[in-house]
Amino acid sequence: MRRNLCRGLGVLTLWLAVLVPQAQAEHDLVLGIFAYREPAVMIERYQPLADYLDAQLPEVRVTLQVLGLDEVERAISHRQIDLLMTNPSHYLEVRSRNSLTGALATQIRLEHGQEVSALGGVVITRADRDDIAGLRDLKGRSVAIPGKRFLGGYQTQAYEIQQVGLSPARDLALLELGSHDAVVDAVMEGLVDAGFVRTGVLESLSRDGQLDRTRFKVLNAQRLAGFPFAVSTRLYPEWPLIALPQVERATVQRIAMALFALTPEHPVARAAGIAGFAPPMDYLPVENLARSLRLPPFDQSPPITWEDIWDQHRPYLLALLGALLVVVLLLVLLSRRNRKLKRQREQMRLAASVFSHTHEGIMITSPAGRIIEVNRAFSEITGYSRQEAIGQRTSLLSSGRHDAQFYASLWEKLLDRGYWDGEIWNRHRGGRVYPQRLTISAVRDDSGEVQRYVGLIADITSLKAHQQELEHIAHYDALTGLPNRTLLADRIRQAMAAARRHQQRLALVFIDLDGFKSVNDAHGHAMGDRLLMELGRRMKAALRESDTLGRLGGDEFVAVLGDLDSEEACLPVLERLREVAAAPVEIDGQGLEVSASLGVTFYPAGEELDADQLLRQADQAMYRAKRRGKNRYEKFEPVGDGIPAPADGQESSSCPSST
Amino acid sequence: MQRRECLAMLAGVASLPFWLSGCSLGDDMVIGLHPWPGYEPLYLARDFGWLPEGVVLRRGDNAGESLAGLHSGELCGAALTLDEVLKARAEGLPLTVVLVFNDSVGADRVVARPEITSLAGLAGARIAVERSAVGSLVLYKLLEAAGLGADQVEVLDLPPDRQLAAWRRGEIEAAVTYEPTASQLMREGAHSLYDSSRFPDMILDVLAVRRDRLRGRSDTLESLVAAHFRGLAHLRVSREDAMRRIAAWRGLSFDEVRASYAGMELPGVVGNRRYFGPGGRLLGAAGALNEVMVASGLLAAPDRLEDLMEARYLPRGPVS
Repeated sequence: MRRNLCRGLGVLTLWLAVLVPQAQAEHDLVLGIFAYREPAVMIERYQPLADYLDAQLPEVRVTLQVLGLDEVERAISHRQIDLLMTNPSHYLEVRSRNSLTGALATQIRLEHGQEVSALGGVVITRADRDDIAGLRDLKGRSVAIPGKRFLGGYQTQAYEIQQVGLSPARDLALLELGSHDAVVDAVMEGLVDAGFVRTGVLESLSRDGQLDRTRFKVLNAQRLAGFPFAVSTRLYPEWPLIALPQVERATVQRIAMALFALTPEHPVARAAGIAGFAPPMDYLPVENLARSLRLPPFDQSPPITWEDIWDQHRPYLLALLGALLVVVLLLVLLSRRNRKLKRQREQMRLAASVFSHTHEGIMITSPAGRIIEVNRAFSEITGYSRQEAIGQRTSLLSSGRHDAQFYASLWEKLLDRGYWDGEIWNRHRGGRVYPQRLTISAVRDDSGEVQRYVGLIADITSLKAHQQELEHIAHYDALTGLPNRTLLADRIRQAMAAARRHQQRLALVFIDLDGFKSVNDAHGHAMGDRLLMELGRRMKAALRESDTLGRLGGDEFVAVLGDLDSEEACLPVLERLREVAAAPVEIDGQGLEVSASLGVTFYPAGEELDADQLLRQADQAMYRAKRRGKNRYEKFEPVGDGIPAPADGQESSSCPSST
Repeated sequence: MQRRECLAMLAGVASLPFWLSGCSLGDDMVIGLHPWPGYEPLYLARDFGWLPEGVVLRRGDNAGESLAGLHSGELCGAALTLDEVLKARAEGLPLTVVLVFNDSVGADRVVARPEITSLAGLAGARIAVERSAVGSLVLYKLLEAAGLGADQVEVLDLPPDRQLAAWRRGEIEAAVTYEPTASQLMREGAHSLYDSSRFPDMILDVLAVRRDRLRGRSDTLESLVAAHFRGLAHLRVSREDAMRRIAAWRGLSFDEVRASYAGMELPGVVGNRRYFGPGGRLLGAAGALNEVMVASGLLAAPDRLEDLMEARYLPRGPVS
């Protein structure tokens, strides 16, 4: 720490040793002037001022130094000048680098007896340039300027150019010539289209006879009362006189007093063409101009932060954010809606696939009963294609089997309960009438109004056939196709009822084959079965159409013979039965021979009987036939058969054996 | 021709008859101004192109022309003194003050013969007064300060341009007057007894607009007010530039223009805000004017001061 401090002091001392002799050691003050015109002109104008200050400050020697802008910079940084007169924008630049530097006074110029403490810029072109009448006409033109750091020679004009909507950098072809005099020459010689100079330069040149006032014109001339110079721009404060920080305060005070004491009549003032000095003016307009043109020290734009953007564009950003939110919200809603739609589409596809792939016919009708839509199964079931069916009434399918009453009740039920189901006979397109299982449902809207009817149609033809088959199996013997015991009992009861009703007689014949067991044993069951089938067929053929032959099982058959006027009327039938059973049968080249023992009973007899009792009577009679030698028939005898069997060989009286 | 230009031209042609009818909806906002240093910032703004689109400054010769324009509907607003605003409101114009241009301090004065050395000495004197609002106001304030009743002085209705002759003929002992007559009378031996700096915030120049012509134009009006403050800033900061411009279009010298602003307070945005509001100086001034104008017969009944002012057109941020 201590070492560093020592070293720092050492460096500082070295600095002072280098600098001090140049400026302050001999109490010299150097007045630096920025040469906006030829150095000779500048010296002629400002040497009297330096001399005046020299005279006013006896202990200090004041010398004049005329410098270009870069030289001024260098001189300041090397402390080679103590007082400086320069243009206001350059003053701002200097001030921005050295906060201790302040303007002491602002110069007041005198021109044609007018005191002027403001300057501006002039835009000139040759008087014969009819194509250039205003600032906007400068677009794309070549323009001579003394330099970009000249306030009156470039910056003031650039600001006006900017105000009319052009960009000085892009829209003008600028040519930096170093001094105002050179600019005027270039314009006059036609080397450039236009030129920028400071106020007063033109007047000064024409006063010296170097410029013909009629050969050029001023663009964008401003109307300013009492301003002795042609001017194309607004006005800015005149040059300041600046004391650099190394000048002592007491000296600064004395210099200021000397400056303010200058009157227009003073020879120094006259020589310099000035009316004196005023307290420093407000250089804010110059600062604003520099900001607007992004000139030094405002050429560095601060990094733009998010806060800046937020502060500047808050309403827009908020609006943008809001809009984005709305968009996002809408997107979310849209995607949800899409998902829902997709789900619905899948459901619909599913429903549609059911609609088109089901084997049930589906028919959708209007409330009035007109067909709106049908599926493929509908066409298959009904024979009507979709094109044929749509628009037709549902009566298209009607078979005519059902009466009006049927349909009325159908509609009543449908409207009442919302659906109907049942079997209905309809007519196929080809004319076939077939049974359908039909379910009709009413589809209602929210208000309960019927929107349409949906009919589900199933062709139950095969179902019906199956049902019949089952019924057959239940009632018929599988081997012979003859009624089985169940059906037979039923037939017996029916025949009994008919006999009672018609006062006729009914014969019940029990038939048992003789020697069938030995056929089975000798030739096998298959052969036996075939024999049973053949004998069944033969016996059935031996009966009348109205009679019934049934098989009880094994080799037992039963025949029901109705419509008999008398018991004797059955005898030929019995004989025929015995004969066909006894006739030889040839199966697969083998002659088989069996016979039958038959027992018959009649109804009504004396007492009231049921079917079982009747069958038992016939059975008993058959046993008697067996006992009496087989291959014969016997009539039921209430005494012999009903009570314990009498002695063997008892004959039937009314039905004598054929043997 | 570009399409845009063509459309613009068509629009211009279409709006022509309406434009002629003056300040109605969709037309330019026409503001009446007469020459007065306090209004110059608006002219500066126009000169630099700072006025918003759709605003036209119509130059008149005096306040009477502006009032006539407001009555006929040709003008949407005008620069007037506050007493003129009250008078116009009494005549049925729905005027609202949106901006205070300036407060003229000390421009109106009372001069008297040398032997009248105090205000009380005016008792029995013949006083020349222009029967204008300002004249009446000054007289009213004078009598109030002197503690005299209206019957204790003899009031002669003489505008300033006739006062010098009357003075020379010895017909008056005192005069309520303003420049340049004031200086002329003082050269004749009169001395200043009283001036308007004794009652500041009374003679205010304001921008008053017709409330019924503001629909859809508040942005324009806001920009117009902002343009005034921008012009005012230029007048302050680039004094020489501004004053030379003003001098050029008024046909005056730079020094004369500079002098014209000497006795004038031009409130900026902050100063303006102080005038508005429930306890603001504008309401106070209007109240005092009410009193004076009713007492002097310039108003039949005091203004109820409803909707007299509207501060929302003043800029909220800094004006550049």
